[in-house]
Amino acid sequence: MRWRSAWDSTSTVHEMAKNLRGWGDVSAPPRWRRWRVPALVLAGGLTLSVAGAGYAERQGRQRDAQAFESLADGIDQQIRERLGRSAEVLFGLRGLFAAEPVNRAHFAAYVASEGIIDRLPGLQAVDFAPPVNPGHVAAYETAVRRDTSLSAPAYARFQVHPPAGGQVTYPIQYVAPLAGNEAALGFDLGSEPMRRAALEEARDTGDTVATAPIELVQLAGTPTQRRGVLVFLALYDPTQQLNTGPERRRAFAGVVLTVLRTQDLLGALTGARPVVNFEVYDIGRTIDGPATEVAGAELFSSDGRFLAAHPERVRGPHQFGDVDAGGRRWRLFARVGPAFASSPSRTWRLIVLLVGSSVSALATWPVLLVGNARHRRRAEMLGSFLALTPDAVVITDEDGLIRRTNYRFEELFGYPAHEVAGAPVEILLPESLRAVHATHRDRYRQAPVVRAMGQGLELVGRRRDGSEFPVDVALAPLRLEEGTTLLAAAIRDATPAKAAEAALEAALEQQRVAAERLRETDRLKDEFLHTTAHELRTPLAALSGFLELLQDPAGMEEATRQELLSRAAANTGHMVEMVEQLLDLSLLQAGKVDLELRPLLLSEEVAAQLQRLAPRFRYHRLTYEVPNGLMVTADRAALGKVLHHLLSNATRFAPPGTQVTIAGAAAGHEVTVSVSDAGPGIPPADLPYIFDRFYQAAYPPPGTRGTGTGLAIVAGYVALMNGRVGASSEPGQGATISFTLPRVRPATATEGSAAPRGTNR
Amino acid sequence: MSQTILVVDDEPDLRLMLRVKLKQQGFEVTEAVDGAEALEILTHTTPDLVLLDLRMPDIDGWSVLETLRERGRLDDLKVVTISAHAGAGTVERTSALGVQAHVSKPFLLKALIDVIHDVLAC
Repeated sequence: MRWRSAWDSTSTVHEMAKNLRGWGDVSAPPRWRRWRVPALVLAGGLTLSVAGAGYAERQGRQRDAQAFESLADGIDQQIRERLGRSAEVLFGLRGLFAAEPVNRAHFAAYVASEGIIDRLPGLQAVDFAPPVNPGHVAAYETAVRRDTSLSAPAYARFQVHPPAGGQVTYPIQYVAPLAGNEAALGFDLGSEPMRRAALEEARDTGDTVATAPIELVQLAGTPTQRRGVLVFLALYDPTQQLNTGPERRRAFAGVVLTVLRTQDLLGALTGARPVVNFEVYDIGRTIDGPATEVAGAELFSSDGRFLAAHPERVRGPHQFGDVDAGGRRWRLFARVGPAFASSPSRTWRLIVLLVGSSVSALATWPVLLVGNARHRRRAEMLGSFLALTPDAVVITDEDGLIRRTNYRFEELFGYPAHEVAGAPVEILLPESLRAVHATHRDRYRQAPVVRAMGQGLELVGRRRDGSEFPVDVALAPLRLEEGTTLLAAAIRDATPAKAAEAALEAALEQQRVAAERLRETDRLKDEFLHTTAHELRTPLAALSGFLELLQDPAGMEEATRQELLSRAAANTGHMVEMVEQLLDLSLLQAGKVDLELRPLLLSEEVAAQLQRLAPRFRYHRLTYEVPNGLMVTADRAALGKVLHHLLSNATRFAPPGTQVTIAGAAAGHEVTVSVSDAGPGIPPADLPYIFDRFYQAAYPPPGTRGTGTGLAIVAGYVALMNGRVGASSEPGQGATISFTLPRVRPATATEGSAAPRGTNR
Repeated sequence: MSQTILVVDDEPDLRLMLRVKLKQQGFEVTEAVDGAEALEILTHTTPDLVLLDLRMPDIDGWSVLETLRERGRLDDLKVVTISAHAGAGTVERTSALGVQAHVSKPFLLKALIDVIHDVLAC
């Protein structure tokens, strides 16, 4: 095979390598495909970066929301605390009034001593107002002015105002501190509906009750600056029942109230650059309705802006919350202030995005390099494997176009690689098969598996020169990473295989013939056994019968007795002869015959046998044609047996009175001895087999006796004496059996007789 | 008056043996060396018994029996057959042809004489 010899010479290897480089491009995938993996890496990296950035931002937002929520809750808490403190003040005053009669000085002293004003931001004043019936106003005013416990010019001018119109009035009688609140002194709280409503509710419930936002009378400035709320707590006659509204009304003795400036009450909660801004709305006594509704009075805004009606417009975290303010609901809307420390989520997002993108871009480069290197390596490896295989390899694409071939292919098909690149694979087939191959190829593409092609079919390839040859083909799909599937076919010239197959077939046939011959021999052997047994039994039966008769010779004639004895002897002799033959045959068969080959005078040996067989020749005419002095190399006993068999056979087959001829003739290095008779001859069909063991026994000629092994024994001995046997016959005209022996020339005869066999130089 | 027995056998030794024994027993013995001679003898004589070897060259014992049956001679002839190969069916076949007895080789002469006496007695 030529591919094997390729390894012998480096120059051939170089040539192969050169070819491989050429093929490398044939199977290279399109360039864009090599960019696919790197592009995927880049896209994946960028996606991860964006996702990471988004995550960072979400995390930041969540942290901000949590921080903001806790700040906003802090605001709520502080407002509740301040309102609670206002309530404490009022309950403290209720205690004061319950303990003793309180005059102006007591009231001022209590408020001053407790430091009440300083402890609550936005607390403008603490007041006391009793109910005064319309008819008693003048007397009341006089009584107040006459209180001398604390003298001040304002008290001297005390007057209920504005003038009441026939209703119970609730003039503010005590004010602490007085300074800055003089305008409130004597102000009738019942003169204004909101104040009156809150006051009367406080009277009826006994709880602290706040007013809706109002403008405080004692302050000057803008409405916002003057905005405030009053919180009332009713005082009752301690001797009365207070279980129901009417009972409380009867026991009602006045109210104490805190005057709160909302700007200060709520404003001091945030600094100059607030972290949280918040708005407060008084939404009345509602408890139902959405938690984000702010329909009601704007009470306060830490930065003066009211945005709660449209929270969706507010950037950053914000939230709603409610506070109970003396039975009224204040709704808080908190939103981030300018000082809110937003977590740096945007920065992080940007960093993650930038770093991620950079890393992705950087990672793409080595992937691209590795991909290219792998492609190169794969192409080289494929080339090596293709060069290695003893088969011709053809790789086709999905359209059946040849993409790559190997060195062996060029040898097998006679096409240079460049000539078939891109050609349909069918050019490698005889024209008659091309159409059907294309359909087979389509079917294979549907379900590609590794398999031998056209199992059970004789596949034929076609060389470039048009010659056709048997091929074996194995198919395998090659799935490339690029997503294409190529089809590889390994093609082997099946000519040697076919020849080997034929040789094997022939050898098998020979074996079959030999086995048949063996079976036939076996069958003949069986027949032989059978016949031999029978042939032995016949003389035995006769012998046994003669002996039985001779046991009782009474009355038997002497001649009869002699005949019986003679026949018994003859039968015994016959049996002895048969047994001798069987023994001879078996020894020849086993190769255990030892011969002493030496020069013998043929005429002497023939004469000896004729003398032994003389009785049998009584009824035949014998012709003796053995030249005197003819010498052969033979074993005396073996030659004797050969001659005996042939001569006795002749007397047996030839009818009495016919001629038997024994002749000897020298020819070259051989002497031929032949015995002819004028018997029935040998049928032509039997002629080739007469020297075979057992044949004669299996098909004995009619009217003959014996084991039928005579000629087999003749052939065995003649072969041992380096001669050949032969037979010819004209059916009906007799037969001639002959054999050859090595001739001893007269010149060497003396030498041969002088030097015994086995001596050599 | 002594009885006549025709011995049909191609083996001279067997004929010799039978002849000597049968004569000792007081029978007249006629001999035939093959089937043809036997049929020839039987066309003009009728022995008291035929001792017929079944295995002979050319016209064998079976052919002799077939011919005798065709000639209608088997009804009045007493036949004892002899064969070496008493294969399965031989006795059935011979008795179906009207043969009185069959003797397998090898046999003792005494035993054969007993069979002959039995056949002649009935």
